[in-house]
Amino acid sequence: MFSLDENEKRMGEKMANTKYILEARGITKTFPGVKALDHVDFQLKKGEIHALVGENGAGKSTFSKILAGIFPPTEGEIFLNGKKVQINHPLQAIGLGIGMVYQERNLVPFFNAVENIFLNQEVTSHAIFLRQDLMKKKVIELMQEIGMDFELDKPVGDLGPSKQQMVEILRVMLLQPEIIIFDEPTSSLTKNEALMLFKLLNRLKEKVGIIFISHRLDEIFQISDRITVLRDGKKIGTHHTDHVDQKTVINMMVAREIKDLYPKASVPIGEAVLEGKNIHCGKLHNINFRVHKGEIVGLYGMVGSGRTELAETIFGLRKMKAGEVIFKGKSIQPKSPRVMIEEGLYLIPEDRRTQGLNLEMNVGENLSLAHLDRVCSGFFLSKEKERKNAQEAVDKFDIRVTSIGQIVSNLSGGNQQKVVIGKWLAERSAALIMDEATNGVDVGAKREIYQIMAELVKAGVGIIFISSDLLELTGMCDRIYVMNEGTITAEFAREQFSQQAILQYAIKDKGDMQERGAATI
Amino acid sequence: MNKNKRFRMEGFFSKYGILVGLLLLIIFFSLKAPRFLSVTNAISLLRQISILSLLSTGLTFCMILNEFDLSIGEMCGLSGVLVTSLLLAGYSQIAAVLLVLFIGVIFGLLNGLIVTKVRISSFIVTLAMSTIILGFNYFITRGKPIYGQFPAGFIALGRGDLLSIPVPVIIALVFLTLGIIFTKKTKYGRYMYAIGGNIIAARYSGIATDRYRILGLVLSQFCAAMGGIVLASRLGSGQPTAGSGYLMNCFATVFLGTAIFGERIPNLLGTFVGVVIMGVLNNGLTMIAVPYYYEYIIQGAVLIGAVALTRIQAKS
Ligand SMILES: Nc1ncnc2c1ncn2[C@@H]1O[C@H](COP(=O)(O)OP(=O)(O)OP(=O)(O)O)[C@@H](O)[C@H]1O
Ligand SMILES: [Mg+2]
Repeated sequence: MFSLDENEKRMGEKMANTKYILEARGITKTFPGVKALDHVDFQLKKGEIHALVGENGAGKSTFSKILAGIFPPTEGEIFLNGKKVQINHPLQAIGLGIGMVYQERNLVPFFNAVENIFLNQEVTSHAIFLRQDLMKKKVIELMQEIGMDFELDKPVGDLGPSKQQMVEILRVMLLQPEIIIFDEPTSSLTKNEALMLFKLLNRLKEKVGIIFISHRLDEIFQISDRITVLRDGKKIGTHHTDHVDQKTVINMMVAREIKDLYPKASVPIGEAVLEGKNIHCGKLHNINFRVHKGEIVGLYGMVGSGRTELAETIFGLRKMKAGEVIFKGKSIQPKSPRVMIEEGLYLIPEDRRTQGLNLEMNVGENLSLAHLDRVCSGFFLSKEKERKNAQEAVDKFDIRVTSIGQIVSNLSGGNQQKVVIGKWLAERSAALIMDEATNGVDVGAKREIYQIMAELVKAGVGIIFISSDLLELTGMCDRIYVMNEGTITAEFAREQFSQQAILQYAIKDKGDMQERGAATI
Repeated sequence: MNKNKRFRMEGFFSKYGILVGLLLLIIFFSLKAPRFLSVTNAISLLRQISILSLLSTGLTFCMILNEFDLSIGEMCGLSGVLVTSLLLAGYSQIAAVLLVLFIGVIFGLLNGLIVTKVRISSFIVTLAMSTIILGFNYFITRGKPIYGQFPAGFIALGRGDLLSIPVPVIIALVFLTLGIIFTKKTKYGRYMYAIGGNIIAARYSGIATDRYRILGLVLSQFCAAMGGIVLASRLGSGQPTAGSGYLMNCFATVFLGTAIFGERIPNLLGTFVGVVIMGVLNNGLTMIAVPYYYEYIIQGAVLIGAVALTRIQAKS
């Protein structure tokens, strides 16, 4: 079954093999207190999509960043087309034809898409004068080629995560690299956008080699040619995708076995805990919804359909133009997050880096920030209580940290997300909104989060579960609302769940919808 | 092995480099001027820096929140002329001092409300406010110092001793200690650091961000007003332009403070070390009779050096 790979490996050991567009040997990387990578060997062929998988903190991003010249390896060698290279700087990596779409977005928020895409690659006349028109034209060409569409004149900070991700992808495409690394590119894309990206990758791969990182195994199996699994910084193995199944890969990734991924328990549905009536706000219009005690209600929609806006409106971050929010049986004005939190409504926000975390604070401080009263003794903060609170969350969510005092920006992406979740689930609320909360979280930890959701609803909490992952929505929800262009266009009960139908309502354009009459199916 | 050692040395310097620098300064000055290392000089040095310390303490509150307050220098000046004028107008000492502190709070509130409600950056608001405050100052003084006979209690604020420790030093240390406890030990301090670190995440966490930003700007004006009162008492008069020079030095001390103990963010203990460094520099340079214009050049260089140090640390 693995003989081919073994064979390749042996050949690779004897000499630098020119059939690999990229080969890494014995890559080791230590950070203070952590060995992020431990003698990792890796080969990439031209014309393949090579998936890199592993739990949060396994070292996927670290490995990629070494190839992209963000930091050098502590030990190990890198060969490009059989030639040994040193990559000391991102610019050098670009020069060598290596492009990377990073897990975390790196955009200038007040620049528009064109300015961001051409950052440091500006087209000029007479060497100094910017040719914005030419650059814009080029971007439009690229977008048409790929089939993307978004506003080019807005600051990207106003664009929303999926569009920002596309800007990042375009930025790398512009450089026409020979090796492209995608670090969790789909975690902020919707299904449709992801499909578009896959089409692009399949077209590109003839001429290049692609490294693809994702926690969504169905994607991995759909698109990759080979899979390399990392665990705790070590390479566990490389397999042809056709030769393995999801279960094998999961077992390689996590030492423990995972049985049912969606621990959906049947819980009696109680009275309504959170209701919206005729909500209007910005582009949101005519929104009516209801969440009961003990219920998980999914909210599905394309990016830009208004899911996050709705969540933020209920949470008091946006001013409602009209409408009513009824919480725990009484009408309430969502004035500010502080008020809503006091009332018992929590929101796990979409973007961990800007909304969820204080990156320069440590793990313990972040975990206690939303409930500082819990870790106070009278007027004063108690370090001891804070440590205990943090330790609980770290154990419960299996957050991989060197210590409670570790600065959050040094955690792997998925572990940062776990900190955000731990921060909000430390205390029980009456209702909870989760906006793409499982983004970038590995299978094991996802299961953990679902388990906690199940416990919460058992205790009578109502949950609004926003996600772009239809599998987890249909796996965990009692009902699903579909949003489209700022309003709710359909509602499905669990018996009626069908990915096909849900998708249809999410992408159908407005005119069509109105003809048929927006409806409950 | 070798690498490891180097790494540890770097860690040491980024943490304690500034303290080592301070030590070297002290050694240098005591070699050049033997009188430098005497108890009398130490006490007079502390007396000199007490006002700077008060103002820097206030500014640190702001900078923890990632806000600026450029109006502290002028507030210091205004409160000096105000308190002396009020005393000469027959107000009791307590009333005069409280009234001036209250006016400081009002200006802080004004700064804070404009920054948070009208959403203008604190840099611009407080820059404009400093001119407005200077305007009030000249309205009262017409640019002339306020001299007169002031009650002994008031004069003690700047010149008195308590158990042979100068009263202004005690005032500064009380403000500093309370500030350290507030910022490091209470949840309110934690909120302020959270806001300064990532204001959006803080808002999503349910923190009343506006309220704390206002609080920061109020505290800085309050401390500046207190500094002005002590300064007027020390000078024994209300000098209209006495406060202006403090602004730059305050920023220098806060930045020096960020470079200490590897904290990288403004913190009161660091600020105080920064204040001591500025004090030692001034005092030492005067003592070895360096011409006064060099002092300015050196102060500016220290500010740039301090910021540079934080940048180098951020990289490593
Ligand atoms: N700059 C850094 N300083 C210290 N430790 C770091 C740094 N970057 C990464 N690490 C540590 O290295 C390990 C590997 O992190 P890495 O980001 O490569 O994980 P990952 O496989 O990409 O995980 P995820 O799926 O969560 O993104 C983690 O333990 C992480 O905490
Ligand atoms: Mg990663």
